[in-house]
Amino acid sequence: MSDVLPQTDRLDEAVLAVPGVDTLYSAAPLVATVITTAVDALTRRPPSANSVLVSREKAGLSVAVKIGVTDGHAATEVCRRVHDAIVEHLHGHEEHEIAEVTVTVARIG
Amino acid sequence: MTSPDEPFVAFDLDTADREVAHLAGHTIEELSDYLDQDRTPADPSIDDSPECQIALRSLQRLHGVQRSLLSSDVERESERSDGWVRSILQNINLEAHSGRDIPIEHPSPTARLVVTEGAVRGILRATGDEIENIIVGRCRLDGDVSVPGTPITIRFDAAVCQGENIPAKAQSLREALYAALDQHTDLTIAAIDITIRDLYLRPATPPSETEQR
Repeated sequence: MSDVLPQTDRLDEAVLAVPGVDTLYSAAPLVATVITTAVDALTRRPPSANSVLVSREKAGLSVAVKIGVTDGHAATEVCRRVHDAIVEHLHGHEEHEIAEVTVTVARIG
Repeated sequence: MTSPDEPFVAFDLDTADREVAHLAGHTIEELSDYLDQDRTPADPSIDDSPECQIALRSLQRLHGVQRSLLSSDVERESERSDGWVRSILQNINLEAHSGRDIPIEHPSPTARLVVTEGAVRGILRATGDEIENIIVGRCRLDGDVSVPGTPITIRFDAAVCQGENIPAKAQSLREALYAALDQHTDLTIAAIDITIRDLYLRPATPPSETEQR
């Protein structure tokens, strides 16, 4: 699993550009996040940029993001728009084989 | 309708270990202290956790209510505030957990879109808190929220300010909750059951400048 595949470059910016998205949370499991944060702190390096999880599978690319939705926007609509923005971004980078795009709304308002 | 004596069984997570595990390693008391310290120094493990953010927003609103209640009648409310506030804190803690994934529809076969149960409980609590003279006690989603189309019942407990028309307040609350659910989820709502479990004294209004003269 990687978050640095070339075609996913700036994927986080594409997600944050969707109206109604105010936060991009780490999509990594909590335990992995805690360990990464602890290692980052110990080594005094900047926090890891693991907000968007990407993996290449047999059926294509798998992407997972976790977002916060701001007040005044419908979470359902924002979630769908984020999915569409990710697909559009990947298609724009000639990545047409998409296995799954997971968008989780973790906070509203 | 929910029986007033029905135990709150939606979550079985009240051991300290689970509490720590599910709020990004923080207890509700730690989050309350963080809020009291105006979120400084910044703690990324709190600021970057959606569960902690949901809990902090609920705590912030509760702190506001506590301040107004204390200024209205310190003696009466302080007698019972410990247990009352503790139960609300416990519910805020439980409700902030991400919980189950609630699907959001999309025509693409590769789309897996969800909103967490914690996010929905958070917005429902916020919706209730926005209604004047209501204090939210707890919020629970009954039914299999992970299967689209399954009828879901929302169970909501609240306290109402003394002197309010309770049926009217409950109806306002119900309408606001329906609107929030319709806006933020694809859930099929069978019912919203509201139980008013308590009354509290109307917060004191600060004397106007004219009255002070």
